[in-house]
Amino acid sequence: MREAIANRVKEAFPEISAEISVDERRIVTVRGECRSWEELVEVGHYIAHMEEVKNVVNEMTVAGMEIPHKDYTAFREAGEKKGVIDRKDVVIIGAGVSGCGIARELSKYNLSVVVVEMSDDVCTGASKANNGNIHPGHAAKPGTLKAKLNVLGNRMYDRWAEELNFRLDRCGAMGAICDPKMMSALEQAYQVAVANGVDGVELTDGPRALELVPELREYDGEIIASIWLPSMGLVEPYEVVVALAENAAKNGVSFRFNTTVADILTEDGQVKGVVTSEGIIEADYVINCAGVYADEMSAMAGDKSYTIHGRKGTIAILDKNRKPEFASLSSVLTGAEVQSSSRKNKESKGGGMCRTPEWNILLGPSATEVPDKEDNTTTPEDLDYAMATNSNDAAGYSDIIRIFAGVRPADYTEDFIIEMSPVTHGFINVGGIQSPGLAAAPAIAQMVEGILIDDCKERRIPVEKKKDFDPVNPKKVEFRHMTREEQDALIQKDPRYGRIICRCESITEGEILDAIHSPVTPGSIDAIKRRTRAGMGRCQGGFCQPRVLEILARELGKDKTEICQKDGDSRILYDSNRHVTPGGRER
Amino acid sequence: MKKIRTDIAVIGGGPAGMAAALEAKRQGAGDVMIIERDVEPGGILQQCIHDGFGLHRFKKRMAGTEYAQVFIDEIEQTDIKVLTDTMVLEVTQEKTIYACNSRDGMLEIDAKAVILSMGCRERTASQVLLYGYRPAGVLTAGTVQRYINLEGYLPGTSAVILGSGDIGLIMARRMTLEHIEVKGVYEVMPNPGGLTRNIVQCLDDYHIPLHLSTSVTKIHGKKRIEGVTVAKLDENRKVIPGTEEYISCDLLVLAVGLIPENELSIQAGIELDPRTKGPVLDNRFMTSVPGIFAAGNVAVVFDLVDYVSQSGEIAARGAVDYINGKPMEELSYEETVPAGNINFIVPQRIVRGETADTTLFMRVKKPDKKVAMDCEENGTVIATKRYPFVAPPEMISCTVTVSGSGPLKVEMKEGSGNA
Amino acid sequence: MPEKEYVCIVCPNSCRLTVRETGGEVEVTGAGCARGVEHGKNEYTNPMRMLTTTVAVKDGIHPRLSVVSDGEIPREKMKECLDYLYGIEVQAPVKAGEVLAENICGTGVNILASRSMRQM
Repeated sequence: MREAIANRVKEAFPEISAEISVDERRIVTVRGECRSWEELVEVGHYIAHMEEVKNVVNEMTVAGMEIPHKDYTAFREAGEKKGVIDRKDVVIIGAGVSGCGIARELSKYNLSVVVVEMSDDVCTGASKANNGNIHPGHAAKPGTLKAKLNVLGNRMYDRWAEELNFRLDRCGAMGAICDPKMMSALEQAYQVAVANGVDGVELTDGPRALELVPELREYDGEIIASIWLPSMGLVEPYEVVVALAENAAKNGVSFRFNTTVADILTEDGQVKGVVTSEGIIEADYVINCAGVYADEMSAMAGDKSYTIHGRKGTIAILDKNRKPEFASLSSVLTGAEVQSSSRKNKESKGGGMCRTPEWNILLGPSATEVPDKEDNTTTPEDLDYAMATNSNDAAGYSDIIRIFAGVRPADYTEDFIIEMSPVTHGFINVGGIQSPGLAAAPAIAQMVEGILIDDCKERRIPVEKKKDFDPVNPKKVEFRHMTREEQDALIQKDPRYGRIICRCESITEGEILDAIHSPVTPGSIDAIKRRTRAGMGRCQGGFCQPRVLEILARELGKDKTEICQKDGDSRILYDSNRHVTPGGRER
Repeated sequence: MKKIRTDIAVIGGGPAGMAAALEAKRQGAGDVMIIERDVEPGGILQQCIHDGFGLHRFKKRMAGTEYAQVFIDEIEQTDIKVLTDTMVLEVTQEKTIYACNSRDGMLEIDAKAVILSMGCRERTASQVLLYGYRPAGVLTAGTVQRYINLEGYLPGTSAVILGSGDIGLIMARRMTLEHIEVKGVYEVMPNPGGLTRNIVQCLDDYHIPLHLSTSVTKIHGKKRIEGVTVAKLDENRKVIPGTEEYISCDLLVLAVGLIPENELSIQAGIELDPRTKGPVLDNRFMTSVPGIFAAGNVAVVFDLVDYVSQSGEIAARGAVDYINGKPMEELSYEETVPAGNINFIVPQRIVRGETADTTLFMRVKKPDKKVAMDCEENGTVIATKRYPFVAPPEMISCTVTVSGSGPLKVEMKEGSGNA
Repeated sequence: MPEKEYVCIVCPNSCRLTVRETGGEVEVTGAGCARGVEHGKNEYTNPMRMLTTTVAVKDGIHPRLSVVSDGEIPREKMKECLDYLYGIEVQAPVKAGEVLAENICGTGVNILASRSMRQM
């Protein structure tokens, strides 16, 4: 097998001398030197797409390029020095949508669970930097885990939204055509959707398309057919993750932020805990939801079985004054988009034009392979790509209020990896969770719950469901969505809702206080932004940042200079500039 | 919900709003109310501690705060009602205002006339397409000014300023005095955006370099900003390859322009002018919605506060006339037409068939010396003004008596000097 | 023979001034008017500037109170004056125009509150 793979690689990439090894799990490790990062990624994909290969560990290098690698030494040494700080049944690494979703699922049981997160808050990685689409599951390759969990997860979102009280907008999506030549492509797309079991998918004629998406009447050409995906949904991704985390916390899960996992403890093939920058946490189970670092965590657990290559996506958010053309996510397919996207990235075409549940036009994300997993820089090229997805003639660069980028944690099979590690028992991989990871999250959580609970039973660890589990989060006050009468009544009850802090989004002091005193305390300006939208509008916090900072300092009992924008040393203000010094000034 | 009736409601208690309220009172208006979102009236002037305000109006150089204080003191002598800490959420075409605060809850204010004077906001990093990371320490000049001048905190220790408008220059000096090292001021355009006076007194005095035709092309630093890449731009504002330079800093101050804050106007269905980004105004400074007027930087970014106050007074006189029954519904209009070196004119139109003293506020496209400007109504020159010097940063203003007999063309021919 | 260049700020013409000193005589060239010549001389011999900054204020609605000099002060005295002002704290309420520092650093110039501030 090794030889066959090596020969095929040699044939496809004659300039590269790739060294191939294969283990008994059919995991291929490839070493050698490539000429560019893109080529390195291509080799990885090429091997992973071979029928007989389970996954690829890509340890190739690039001539003249230093590939950034995270150094865990200092974190590990700091943690070892601090010794054992906690003992839990389950440690979850990463507070993204997978980690928080699993935490909430496990909080139903009499298990002690801690979520450790390297950043200062939940939802700071790929879970944040995406377009919030709850995909129907029509785009995934049939037969993959991704396809299965996508469709299932999509279906489960209604319940999540109902219990957790976040906004889910089942807007539906349509791909319509005017050109008969596009018919076969449309039918093919429909067959895939049917094969995946997508809910409610319909292949329609022209009149039916116009009935479903009346805005298409404005389109110049005659719509002759469409694929209609009623289950397409929209969420604000941070709303989902915050809601999951808050509900998990309410049901007993604890969170440790600013805590980097630097090693996984194992003994005789059994996981024993994690070494973090803040000390050692002993545990029977470790669930790896570390996003772009999932492969490194798995390797620490002795299970080097896949490699994450970061795929950066850049998104542009437009001013709400520029209204989206469609309530649903609909577009007329001309075939051009297929071509342009295939040039850009073979494995992912990136996203298109959509909107947020709050009705901002959202463009992108783009799809660019990056060697640095933390490279969330925006570039002119990526922005141009995102902007090219815009089909609204009235909207353009001058409507942009925010450009941001995130890194998708893609493995080379481009599928999800969810399994109990066959090497280290008790270590559960939840890796490669890129799009549609947000849509699949409820199904992922359920699947991991199943793996863990079944294993507990097998190991005769007594688990039972808690009687006092409360699946419901109370509805949050959203001043902006209330009627004037409701707003008035609210302020009469609590005057703090009468003070608008964020002008652009009409966010009140009361809402910010609700967020600060929630089960998962936000400590930074960005954490408040994710929970309340303060600073998310067109002025991007120019007006409200000083006010939010003041409220945070006051409520958390901190000095203003201690308040950060995000994790790490990201404080906003330095020293109070002028201390009064009696009889004169020293500085 | 508390319901209030008033004759005139002024939205925003900055220099435009205060001048408008006072002028309305002088013109004999009954109930006048200012709705202000901050803790006190004064608007952005309360953080403009530098001097240079009021030269036209008071014939002396005043600090921004001093200028505001004159109006605040005068308002206190009147029965003008100032609602502070109060945010307007909506203005309807019927001139009903919804505003809220902690004391009253939601207020429904029915006004006979409304004057919009919400001012402007600053352009942000994403709006000027700054690429790279999004760390802490990238702030607009106004936010920096607030932190330093009102709150007494430093938002950094070494700064790069993008934008050489007066705001950028003033902040260069202010930060230097507050012991923040200013590495340089970078300007995308080939000419400085601010006044020579400010370049001399804010940059030259402190040996701060000004780099023209240069922009920030990348922001570095994942948590707190660590530096920026700057690069020279060619005449098409494209980066000249090979000119990139890394400048370390822990603060990037953006002084990259102001945008009139017209969200309420848009909601009310008021027509906007894409050039000024403010409402289309007639010579009474009335918007396209009868009875709703606009003044100050919400109408057009004036820069000069004296003109802002003046525009408030024009709008106030219009509002009082409107209340007094001067017909202003379904008027027909003649356009004002900029020509030659004139870039835009506010007001954008004048009432057809009505003789009126009309103040025009204009900006030129490029600097010039010893130029003449003709105001031509319906083909007849009604006024000629001469200027020894004009430049885009300095708005020009002139008052002419128009008859509304046809389009008002204002043309400034290219002068002899090429300043 | 020391020589220095200035941009004149008397009017928007922005004349380029060259100031030369020969045997105690100061000569200004490049000015378009007499005021420009005067300005050039002053900039060369003793440039004067207005001072605006803030001082600490106790019990005010903001932590800082803006202040302004009632006349220009020598530019070289600016730092000394600022340093003095960093060291003082005033008590709200304050009325605009109130003298907060008399004859600051011997310049003969007073420092005034440039706004009123009520007590919180």
